[in-house]
Amino acid sequence: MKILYAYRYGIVGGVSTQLLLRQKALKSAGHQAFLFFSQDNGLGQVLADRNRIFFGSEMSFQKLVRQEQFDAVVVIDSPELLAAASGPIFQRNPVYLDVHTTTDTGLSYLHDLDATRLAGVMVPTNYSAALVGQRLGDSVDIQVVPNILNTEVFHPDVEDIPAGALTLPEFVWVGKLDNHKNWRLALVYAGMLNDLLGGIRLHVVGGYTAPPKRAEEFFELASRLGISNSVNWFDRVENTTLAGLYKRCASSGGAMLVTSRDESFGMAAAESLLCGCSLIANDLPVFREVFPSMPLVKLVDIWDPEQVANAVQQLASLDEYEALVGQVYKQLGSRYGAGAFVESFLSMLGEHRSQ
Amino acid sequence: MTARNDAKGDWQGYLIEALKEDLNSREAEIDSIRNSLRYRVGGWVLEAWPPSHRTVVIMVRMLVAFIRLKKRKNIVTGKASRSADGAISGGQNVEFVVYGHCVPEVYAGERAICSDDPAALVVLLDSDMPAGTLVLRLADQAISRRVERLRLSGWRIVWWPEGVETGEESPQVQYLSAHADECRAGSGS
Repeated sequence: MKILYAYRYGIVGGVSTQLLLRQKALKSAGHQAFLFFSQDNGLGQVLADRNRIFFGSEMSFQKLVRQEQFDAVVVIDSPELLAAASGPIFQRNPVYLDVHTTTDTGLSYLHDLDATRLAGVMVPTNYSAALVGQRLGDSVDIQVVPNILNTEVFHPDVEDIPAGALTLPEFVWVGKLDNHKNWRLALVYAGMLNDLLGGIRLHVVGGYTAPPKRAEEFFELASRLGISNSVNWFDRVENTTLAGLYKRCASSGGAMLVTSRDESFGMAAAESLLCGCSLIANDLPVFREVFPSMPLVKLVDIWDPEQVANAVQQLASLDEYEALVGQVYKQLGSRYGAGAFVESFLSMLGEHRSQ
Repeated sequence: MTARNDAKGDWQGYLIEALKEDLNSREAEIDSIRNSLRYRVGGWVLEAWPPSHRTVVIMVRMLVAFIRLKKRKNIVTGKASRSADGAISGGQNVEFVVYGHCVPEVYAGERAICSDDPAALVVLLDSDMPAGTLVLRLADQAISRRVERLRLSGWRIVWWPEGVETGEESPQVQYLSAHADECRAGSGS
């Protein structure tokens, strides 16, 4: 089959990472997957191989859809591309909507959507399915097509990064420096844990596209909290480096912190677990679905410092840690492997073709 | 680095501050939705029923809004990433990159370049040039945010401010002082 995925933002982030993994998985299964991004916000710079990856305007998207005959076009949270996705009137493509956002603002476009014109709607989790169903109505069939985790890069045997000897517990936080990810809270907890544990290090990964004012706010808050020397800001890192960072935090007895208001899946959280790095996260519905009852995962009220502190101490004293890491890797790798995605995705497309 | 003693023990205060910031941003999002065209049009539709002379007023208002929206969508926004105008060349043979107004004598030579343009330096530092020594004589957030990434790639960071700091160090200077591989003082000439 020949599939086209289309998304507005060509940034180095969760959705683009997912699309690259899906492209690879479909290729391995003998199918062709093309990726189109309406904007290049830095992704083009980091791609080693741009085969079947396009950046362009809506006009170039229309041209791509017209020129290549796709078996399906999947549009991710970019309603402005839906009309063009179906192609010319004499050669209509089945168009699917894949919803990855979970914010009210991000989902608001669904209110204006005529889902009956779509071949199908897919989401990565049951949690997302409920959110989308609330907006599209019960008559729309929404299918869960799971995300893929990159178990080749993120695994327990990865080497940690060469960043000096481990002398303190090290924690990691990954995300954009925006209100949704709640980066300020992560810095506040870094300060508290620094006091509680007699010294820590927090690696903040992300914020490559943060505006200058936001960057200044970051330095200012770190200074006020007295943690300028305890916080490492990595505005952007390669996946292999990120895996090494997770492993380093795991080896130090630290954890990954997730302070987000909401998540659509928790890709970074899952990747950290694959590398053996424990997780202290806001108790979000999606995490209960993606990480069911895992000892390496502590879901807390992220606004309750006592819960966070208890979680840190519990995770630092886990028994049979290596065995738990292996179990988590196996569980997540199986549920969110390439095979699971391909089977689910093709099944959905196959159902449409048989209708 | 000057420690900020007021941070100690006031974690409750910082949590409340973070919570207030979170609430403010959520309110701002709601305001944004309320001010959005879709929300306003929804309000107009309610005003337009039952049909009356007001309906005509609302229809005109909706038509104007529709035309404005179409015009806005047709504006080419351009690429988000800027082209490297004024980019610094010769990165492949450079050992010392100085962000400031002049190269300190100890680094002077053919393999040192200097710029006080953070945007141009960012383009150079984000390129695939071999790692060297980055001498920071000024502080700019665009470069400061890259310091740890550069260190991980093998760069050596030297913080050597041009001016003499009076009073408390700025937050960025505190960060740079803490994360540089070497801190130096003096004019460098």
